[in-house]
Amino acid sequence: MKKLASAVSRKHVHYAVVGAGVVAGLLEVLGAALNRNPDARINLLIYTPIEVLVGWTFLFVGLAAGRRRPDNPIGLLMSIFGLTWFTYALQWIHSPVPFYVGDAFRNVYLAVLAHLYIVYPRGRPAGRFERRAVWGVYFWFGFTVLTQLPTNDPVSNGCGQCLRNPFYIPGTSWLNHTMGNVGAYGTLVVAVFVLAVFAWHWSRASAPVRRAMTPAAWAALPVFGTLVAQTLAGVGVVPSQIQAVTVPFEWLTFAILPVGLLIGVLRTRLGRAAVGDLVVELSRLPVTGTLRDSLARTVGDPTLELALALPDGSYVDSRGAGLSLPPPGSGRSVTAIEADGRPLAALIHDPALNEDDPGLVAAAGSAARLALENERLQAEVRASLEEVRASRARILEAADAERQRLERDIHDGAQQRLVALGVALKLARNHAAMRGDDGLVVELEAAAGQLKDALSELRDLAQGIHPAVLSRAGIGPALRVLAELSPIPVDIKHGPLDRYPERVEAAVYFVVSEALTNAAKHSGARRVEVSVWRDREFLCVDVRDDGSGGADVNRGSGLVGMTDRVSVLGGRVETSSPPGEGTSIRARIPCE
Amino acid sequence: MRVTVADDSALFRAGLIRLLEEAGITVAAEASDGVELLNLIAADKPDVVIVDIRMPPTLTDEGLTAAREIHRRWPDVGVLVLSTYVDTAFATELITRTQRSVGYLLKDRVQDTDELVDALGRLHKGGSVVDPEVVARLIGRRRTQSPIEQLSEREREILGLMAQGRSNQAISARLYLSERTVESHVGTIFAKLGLEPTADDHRRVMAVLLYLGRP
Repeated sequence: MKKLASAVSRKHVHYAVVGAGVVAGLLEVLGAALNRNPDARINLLIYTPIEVLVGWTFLFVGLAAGRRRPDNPIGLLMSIFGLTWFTYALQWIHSPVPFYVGDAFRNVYLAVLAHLYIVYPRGRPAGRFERRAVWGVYFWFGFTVLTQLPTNDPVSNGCGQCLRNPFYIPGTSWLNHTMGNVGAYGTLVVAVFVLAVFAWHWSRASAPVRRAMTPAAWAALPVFGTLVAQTLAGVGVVPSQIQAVTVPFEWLTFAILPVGLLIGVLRTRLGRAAVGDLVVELSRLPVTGTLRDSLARTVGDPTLELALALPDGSYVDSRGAGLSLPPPGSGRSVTAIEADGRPLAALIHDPALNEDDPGLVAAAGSAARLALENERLQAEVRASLEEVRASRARILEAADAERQRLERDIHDGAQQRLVALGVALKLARNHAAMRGDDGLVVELEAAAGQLKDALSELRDLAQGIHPAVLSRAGIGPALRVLAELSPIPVDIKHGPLDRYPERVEAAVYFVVSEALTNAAKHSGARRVEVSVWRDREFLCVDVRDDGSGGADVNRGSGLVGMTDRVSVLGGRVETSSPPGEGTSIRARIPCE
Repeated sequence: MRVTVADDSALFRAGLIRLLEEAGITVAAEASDGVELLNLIAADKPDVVIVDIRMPPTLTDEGLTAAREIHRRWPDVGVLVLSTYVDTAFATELITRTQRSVGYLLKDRVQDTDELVDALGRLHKGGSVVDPEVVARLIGRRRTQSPIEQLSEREREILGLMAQGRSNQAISARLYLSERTVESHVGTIFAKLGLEPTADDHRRVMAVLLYLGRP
């Protein structure tokens, strides 16, 4: 309520300021018209209209900005600038008090301008430093007024026609010139200081704030340039001709200023028009993934993130990966978009968007509701797919671990015992031979022979369950073992191979193993070529034979299993088997 | 000849030790893992060590690590690595990375006491031993455009025996050929394969295995 009350009363102050400024402008025109001084003619024709227009522009641009954002005092400040702009015109009233007051306060609009740029575009000083900076600027101008007004005595300086200064303290005219120079340097320092504060703000500002600041910055540069040139010329640092050259442009530079500020203020207004563009854009955009970009462009915040709500209340990004909303006070704002009372999505963005144009983000989100719903459904599907993939990967990993355990059990258990049994049979045979029991020797030797066969079968079985060489030495040696066991000649081509995650090595091994088995069974090939290479983050393997081709990949359960194994790892298997041209099986497996 | 045995299966160790002792070989000590083995060798150096390739703690290739370490610290001790599987890559690596006195046999080969004793004797004399099954796999591997395909039956047989680590003399005794004939065959084989002839037995095994073990 208090905020509302202050906004209402500020509105009235604002109207009063604008009204006073309009009157002041009219008075200036009137003053110039009534002036009989020949110099005043040129003023009336050229400078006065420009000056009045500049002042009025500020008044009304400020009014427009104030109406658009009642809680932001920047509009009022702009109008106050417009009013103080006319202080100089008090001199047209040919009477001592207004003349000297107008003369002393002629530069106060610069203080308002400094204030404006320190707090632009928020309208209020952020923090103690800025509040003090604003006060400092006004104190400085107050100080120059207090040192100028009572020391200025043109009459004692030999200007007989001049009006007598009613505020003059006798004997202080010597101070006037010195204080004039001090004031000029001070103005320069203030200008540089404000520029620095503005630049510092800009460097730290988020993209939407920068959008408002950039035109204001460009518009201020000519003002700053002429101000510096004139101040330096005034104190004699640079030739005074500079002053003569720049004076006509001074009004022009100030005429640019409100344009820049207005564009800055309107840029958030343009955001609303961008919502319209968004609606049009989305209507011809069936592609997903660009929705976030479109929204980011519309609200002018490249850091915008899109969080899509799942039915269970969690959030995911467009790819279906889990996402958590930033907590309050984390420096990011969250705007929730709902459909039929259920959360549809959340836009995570720069908090400045809210200050800048409340409702813009929500408007953009609402405009995109249909596209968001679509994106949400897709993300939901992707999230489920991701879950399925992860569970398949877990199953495969568990199965592989189980195979490895089984192989180890066979090796450490049955195989070791059978080998020991073989040794025991050998010892028994030796003893039988020593005792001369030839019949027993023959039987024991036969038993040893059977045991050897059993061991050999068990060895093949264990190797088939999990190739020990793969975990021990990696793909290269494991592929050579496959080649040794292949009835068809196999040429292996690979560069130096690193070790890769176990599941990647296993996938390559089983692809080659399956492909070689297939080639041996069906193709009638005379040779097979196996190539393994690394292509960026993929490990690639290619097995091609010179057989009859025409293999149906979907028929052999081995090939299907191999394709499953690769796709679980996010890889792809491509098979080409045109009749009469051999079979090529190629797999790409992510290995990082 | 004194032998130290390392295997994590106590049952197998006990049987092997009895076999060795019955064959007249002294067993100096027995260990159940690689670390214990090295300590035992340091305490009482044998002529040859018999070590299982897979032992605790990792159950992958402790045998290889142990063999390298033994060769580094006691160059005159022969090492015979026993393996449950026919791992040609491992065998090739073991033989070609060690300078001398190293062997690789399948575990069930120990039942052939004569073979085992013969292998231990060769290792004791600085020679090398490669399991016939490994050599058979290496030579038997089908290839295209390989000079091995151009070798005669007899030449392949001799190449296999060379790869097992046998000397010309041993080859001639086994094939009932004169040593001269074997020498001439060996010369032909080396020429066909494009290998540098060498008199040293171990160097010869290394060259042949490297050749056969190529992808």
